Amino acid sequence: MTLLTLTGVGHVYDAGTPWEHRALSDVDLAVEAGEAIAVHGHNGSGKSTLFRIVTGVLRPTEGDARLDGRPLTDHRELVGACLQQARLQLFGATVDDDLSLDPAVPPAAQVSALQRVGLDPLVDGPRRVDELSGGQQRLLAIAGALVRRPRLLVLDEPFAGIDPDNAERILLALAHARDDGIATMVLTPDPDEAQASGRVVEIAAGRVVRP
Amino acid sequence: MSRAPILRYVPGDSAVHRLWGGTKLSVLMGLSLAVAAVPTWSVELAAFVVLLLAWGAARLPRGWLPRPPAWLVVALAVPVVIGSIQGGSPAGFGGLLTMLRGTGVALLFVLGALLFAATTPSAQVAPSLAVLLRPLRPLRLPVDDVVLVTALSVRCLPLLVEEVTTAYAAWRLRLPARERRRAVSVGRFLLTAVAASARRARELAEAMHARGGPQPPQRPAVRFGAGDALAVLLLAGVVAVAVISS
Repeated sequence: MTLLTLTGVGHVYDAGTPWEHRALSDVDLAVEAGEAIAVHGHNGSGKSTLFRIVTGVLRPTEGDARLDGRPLTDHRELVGACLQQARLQLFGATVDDDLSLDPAVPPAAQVSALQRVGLDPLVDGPRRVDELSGGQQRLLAIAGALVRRPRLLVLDEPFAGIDPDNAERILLALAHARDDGIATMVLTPDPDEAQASGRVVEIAAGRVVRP
Repeated sequence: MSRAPILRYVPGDSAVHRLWGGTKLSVLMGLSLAVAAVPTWSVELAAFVVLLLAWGAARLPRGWLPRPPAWLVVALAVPVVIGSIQGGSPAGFGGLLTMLRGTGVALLFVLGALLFAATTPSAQVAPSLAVLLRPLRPLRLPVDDVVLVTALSVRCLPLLVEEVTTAYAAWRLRLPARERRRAVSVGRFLLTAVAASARRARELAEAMHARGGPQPPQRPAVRFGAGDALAVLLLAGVVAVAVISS
């Protein structure tokens, strides 16, 4: 069953101004429910714009982006996102605080999400967010996204600047997510990381060159 | 007008682009002081004429001027409406005229800042300021500190805006709409923005320390040409109007 569908998606920043520039052109992409996909492209290839569109933060200026057949920007709650700078998406003082941002999420789901990413609820739960290493902050960001039970989890360069142990934990967390039926999309400039993260889609100069 | 990003440089080779940064700063400062000190219609009009001449000479492409958001238009309209029902001389329009004059001063400052940013590379700002403030050095004023802070601010502001924008997007993604309306959630977002800014400032300080501490900005040779002289003359004209009006 197709979860995400991008049809002819393109994006022009600052349209109608002297700073107008095109970041994406005519992108067609389909992601199945529970599928693992990796978008590989160099810096400036359009990955970040694609990340913003797929997470519903940015409405594409061209084409159609749908999740479960509905406009993506109207259903952002079905998408979990992990930024490259994980600290920017951690809003609690401690790990437990951060996972309980939404009171509708039961405590059991918070514990489960922490365990899914390899953090210990008893040891790491009371720790201050700023005490965590960069890799641990990224794991917490993934837990924060998983706790809301998204249908699609999108990660922007999740392996950048972290040690092999935490990279392994992230890959494991993504595998667990897929076991739960959550599709995962990893955006990375590293071809090896892309290979390890699922079906590789190649993007260059704002276009999909290998679907 | 468009959804243009604010305070961004528009590359060009117009007469205004070629002016020395210090000249543009001085003229803007002079115009601001003139309309603030003598806020009469004639001074405002003269200042607007100077800015409009500069706008025309800058030959900026269409779409450079950002479209004001709806809330700003409403915020500007409210005092005008209040002023119009206040009455006052002449002929019951006194309040309205006062409000319009105040709004005009605000617009003048904004247009001046936008024009300056659109025609001046940010790298020119601190060195120009260093030259302009040099005469204050014998008074033992912290000129170097002011220039350094200005240079850092100009350099870091876009990064800061980007980080806060990203944090805001993440906040919207992580919290359902009902939670985002709670004051405690807004407070959490602000704390994250402050934490991210503090971290960025610390990284910048460490990078500067590693390179031998803060360095004063380079002072390029001052290029004071015919265009600069004309700009100063126009400023002198506005100041003359202000003196006569007062």
